[in-house]
Amino acid sequence: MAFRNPWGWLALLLILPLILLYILKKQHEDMNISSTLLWQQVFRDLQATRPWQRLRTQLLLILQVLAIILFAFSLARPISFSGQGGISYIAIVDTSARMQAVDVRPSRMEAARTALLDLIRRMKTGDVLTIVLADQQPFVLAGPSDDKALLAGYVNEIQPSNGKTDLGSAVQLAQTLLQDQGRDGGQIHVFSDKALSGADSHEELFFHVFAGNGENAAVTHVGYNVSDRNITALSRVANYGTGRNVTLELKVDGSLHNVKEVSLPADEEISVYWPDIPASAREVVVSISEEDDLLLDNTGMAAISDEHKVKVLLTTERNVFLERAVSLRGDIELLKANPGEAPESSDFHLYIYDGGLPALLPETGHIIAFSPSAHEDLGLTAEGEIQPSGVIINPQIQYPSLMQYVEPEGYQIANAVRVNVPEGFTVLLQDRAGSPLLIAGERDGRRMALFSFSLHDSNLPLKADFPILIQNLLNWLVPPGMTFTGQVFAGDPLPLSPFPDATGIIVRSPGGREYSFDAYPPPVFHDTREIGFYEVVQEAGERTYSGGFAVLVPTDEVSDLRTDSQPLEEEGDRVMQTAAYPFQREIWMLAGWALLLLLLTEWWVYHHGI
Amino acid sequence: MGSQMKTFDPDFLSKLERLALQNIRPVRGGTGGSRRSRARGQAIEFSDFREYTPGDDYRRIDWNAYARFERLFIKLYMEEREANVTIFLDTSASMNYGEPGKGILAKKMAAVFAYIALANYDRVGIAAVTDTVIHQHPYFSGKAGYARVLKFLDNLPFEGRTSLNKSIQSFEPLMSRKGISIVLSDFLAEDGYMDAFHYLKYQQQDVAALQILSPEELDPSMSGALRLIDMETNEHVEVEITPRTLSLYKKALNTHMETLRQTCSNLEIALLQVGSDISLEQLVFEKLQQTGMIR
Repeated sequence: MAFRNPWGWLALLLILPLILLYILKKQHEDMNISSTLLWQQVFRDLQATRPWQRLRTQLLLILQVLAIILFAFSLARPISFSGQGGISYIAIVDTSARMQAVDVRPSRMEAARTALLDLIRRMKTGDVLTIVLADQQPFVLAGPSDDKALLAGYVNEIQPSNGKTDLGSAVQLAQTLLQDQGRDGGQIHVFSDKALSGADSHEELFFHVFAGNGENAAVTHVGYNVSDRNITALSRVANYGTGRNVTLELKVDGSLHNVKEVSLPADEEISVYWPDIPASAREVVVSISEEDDLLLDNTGMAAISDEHKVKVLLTTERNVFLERAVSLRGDIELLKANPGEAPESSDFHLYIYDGGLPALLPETGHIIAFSPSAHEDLGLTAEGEIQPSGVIINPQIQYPSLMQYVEPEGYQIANAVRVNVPEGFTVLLQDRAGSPLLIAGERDGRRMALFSFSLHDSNLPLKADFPILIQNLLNWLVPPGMTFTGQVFAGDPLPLSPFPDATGIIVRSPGGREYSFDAYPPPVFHDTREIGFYEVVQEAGERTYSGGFAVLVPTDEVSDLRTDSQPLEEEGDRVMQTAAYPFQREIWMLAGWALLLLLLTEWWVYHHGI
Repeated sequence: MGSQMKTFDPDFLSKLERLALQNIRPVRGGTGGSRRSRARGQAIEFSDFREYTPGDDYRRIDWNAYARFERLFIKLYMEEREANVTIFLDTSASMNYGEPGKGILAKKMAAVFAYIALANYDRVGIAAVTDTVIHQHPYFSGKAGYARVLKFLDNLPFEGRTSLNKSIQSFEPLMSRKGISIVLSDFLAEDGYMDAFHYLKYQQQDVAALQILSPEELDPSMSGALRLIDMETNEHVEVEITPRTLSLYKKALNTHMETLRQTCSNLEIALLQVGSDISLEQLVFEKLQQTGMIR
């Protein structure tokens, strides 16, 4: 037996005035009557039954005291742990970074874990429990099982993540599991710091909320700006609580570089600049010195780019439009060569052939070619010419991002080579008759985009969306992410973009753990749970490209501890449970009926004196 | 009150004239009346003497006896003659209770009884009683005396305590002369009424009793914790009015009324128990006739 509202027992204080009413002599109102002759007889009758009268008075008092006790009992919302086994329970544990908050002692997660262990302890014979973790992607941690020790072991292993969670998906998963188990009366219990809105309509869904009105400040963003001689870092610091002063520390490559004390107004976010950071810096970390209810987001960081240049060789007689369109990207190092001229180096990441296609293609690197000649290795044929009538985007296009913001309706092309669509290629642009004008595809890990016409025979360079088309192609062929510098939130997957000549990629987590991938097909790095700097090394023969990225706390999602804490009504009420335990049954209704029965009895005794 | 006494309309009075008080036993004494009697009187044979009282027929004075004893006696014969009707009207304070007041109905009934008696050539005497006889109207006869009755009744106040036993026993004019005594009261007297009834029966009275109780007494609607104060004695009883106590009260009331009924039955006393809210017509022309008090 437990009570969900122990304050209800305060109603017992009503007993005091009740007894006082019995102790105090009643005030009688005067009334003149013709004769007290008969009333004296009544009085004598009452006197004759005085022992019973006294008893009746006491009985009334006892009944009324019992009624108050039942009333207080009902207000205290008693919970019965009785129940029959054989029921399926699914426990969803929210592992978001918010659960690390210590506004509920010892922490939200610890409180949730304790409650879940308590739940397991109270399981009846025949009950089974499945534990689902609501992580970035929900997954089943354990069960269904009735082995309490096993389940408790799993519960003790649950740790909060550093990112956000998708509680809704976890609930959907749990509902599916419950249906699959096919046992009636199943219940889903969510242990979280918030309750999902609209969950009231699901009778099987119960929320156990562990949330306080935590005070928190967070470093929400760290960025930088590289000038000729040094770096200036920008940090954003948000306050999710009352106004206060905080001390900010700046560490550059692990060493303390600067300290600032700033004033944080309530519910505001401020910018703090950190100039004069050496140009050689690779990592900047801004942190709040003072402790608050969530330490995790007190640190923000940024990895500074190594500025690996993407090397592009443009083979052309002269094409200013193309040269400018390609050079728009700052990380591209563009070299030009005349047709037939052999480049000094062969380690370009991208080759652009403005007319024709060499019989012997470079060993590595992606390719853009205009008006290509037939090529046996590629399976490309180029026979005859066509005069395209209108240019349209292939309705069945495979790479829609390449045609984003491109409007080819105004393109005019005088002549084009009639080309086929080699295996692995797809048509991006075509004329109205369906002849390919721009095809793209991959062959042996090498990406290619082939225009079947010369830019000199079209008005394409004069069109406003020409640079857009070229940049779309460049982003596909040599993505900017290849420099590896960037930021990602904890738990979010990071697609790695290898250099064309890379054969393998190694990712080292802040904890020193190494992950190895083949460079192609481009891998996706998933294990971004740990906050901090990740080092990325791409191996390309004897060369290596080094870079890194920072995994950050999604502060927008987790830092405001109060966002979902609104149901808390009283300060100091650190733990609020919005649902009963699965084996609990609120029995205040039962107590209410008993109270009603008692009141009826009291009324009957009062009126009949029996 | 007095105006109420005077507002009996002629129709009502004419109806009353057709009524007569019914005596169970023969009465004796008094001058000639319309009552059949085995008493001695003028028409049949001489029966007895009795001392003269004002109002007696002068012609029946036995002057021989006066000559011998120097006291006035009249001759009594077996004959039809008038009866003495004595109305004992309870005028204690408790009769001034209720809505409508018990005393109002009691006074009206006293007037009715007096009128019926006078209309039948009976002699009527009225005694206002509390714990003693506080006022009394001497016996008189003839319809002309009815106005005096009303005037007498008008001036009667309701005050003092009730003691029918003491007051009726102290009423001297009965003088063992057979007659009819009518007691109008609520009979809520601490010392009861038994001695009074026995006294009246001893005085050879045919007794009729009219118990008048107010609606508040018959079916009290009070509630809460009350200090009930007796209007006559100022004694009080503290009770908490509950359904239980009201039930006990009704039980006590029923017992009281049943005791009165039983007593009257045993003593051959005609009894009528009514509420003060009953209409006069219903009381006179239905209830009284049903009980046989009048015919």
